[in-house]
Amino acid sequence: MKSEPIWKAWFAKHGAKLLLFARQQARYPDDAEDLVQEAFVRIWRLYGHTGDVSPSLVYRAIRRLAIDWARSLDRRKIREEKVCSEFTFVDSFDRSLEKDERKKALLHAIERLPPEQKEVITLKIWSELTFDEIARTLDLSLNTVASRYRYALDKLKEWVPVSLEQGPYQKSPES
Amino acid sequence: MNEYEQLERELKAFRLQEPSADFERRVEEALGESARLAVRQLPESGDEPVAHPVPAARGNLFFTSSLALLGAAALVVLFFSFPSSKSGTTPVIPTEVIDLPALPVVQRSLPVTDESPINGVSIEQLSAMTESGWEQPQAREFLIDFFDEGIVERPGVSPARQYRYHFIDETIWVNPETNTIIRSSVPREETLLIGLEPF
Repeated sequence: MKSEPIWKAWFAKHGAKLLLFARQQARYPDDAEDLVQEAFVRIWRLYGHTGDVSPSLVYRAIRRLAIDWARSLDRRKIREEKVCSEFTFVDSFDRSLEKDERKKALLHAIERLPPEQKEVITLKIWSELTFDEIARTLDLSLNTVASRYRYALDKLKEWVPVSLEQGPYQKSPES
Repeated sequence: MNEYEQLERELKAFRLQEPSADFERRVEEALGESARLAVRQLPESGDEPVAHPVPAARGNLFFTSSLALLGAAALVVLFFSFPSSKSGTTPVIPTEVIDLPALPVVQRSLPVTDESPINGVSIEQLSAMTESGWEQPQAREFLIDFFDEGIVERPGVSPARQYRYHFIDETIWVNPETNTIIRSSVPREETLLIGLEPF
């Protein structure tokens, strides 16, 4: 028998989801991995001995760190000196999706959602958090979270057929 | 049927790109010693059971005895997990049984006695530690987060605003003679009620 640290299994399950959220929270795409690393390490040091850490704690830590880092002028200066790589929402997903026109159109439609709706969709759909956990993570009321989620889905339903007709790379009319 | 169900299903089917191996290595380095806070046992490649063809009679005998062993193991697990199911939740039984005499799984469900270290260290134990070379323990408190839970009604008194705080209490014991460090982290929740003056 050999032993494996439990964090590896935990990270294999949640790492990609955390990165997707961090990319939306980070002011600069290059910060996303740093955000996940810092938030995860902080939380795992506190709760890791239990062998199971609630993912919502790490999401909350990512958000708070992102806010702190955005306020940090020094860090901003350092980052501004770097050439920022272009990040699109589609980049977070498996490349094989691009073969499916509808899936591709959906992803491009999500890309166009307002950030506050996009983060709710991300946490609900891919991070599988409850509305209550999302509300705590984003410091919002439960009603606001539920409304944003519903508005986002309404927009996706409205946009995607249009996107498909026009082709995924053409702009659809703004809502 | 929920009008969004189809759309939600489609979105959930999208596969996320996995973090790079380089990123995982960086996380592991950043975790340092914390990476080994919790570990699990994995069967090595040599430990995997190999299927050997057996004669039918022996096969049946093996099947019957395995079934009996499995039944006995299930009974033992149920017996030991009974005290932990007081809250009404279903006892957690691991879905993957690596080895039949999986003692650690049974141990996890044992009832916690008053003497268990999980209940903290008593004053007597602390003083004993000081005598045998342990330094004065260092205690720290970390505020993890807090929530404003709004205004709550209290029977017979004025309403109050309720805040919920989550802390981690950390205690570190150091024995320089044996170069031993013990760290205990215990989560704690506090609820603060601030009375409101009705006007």
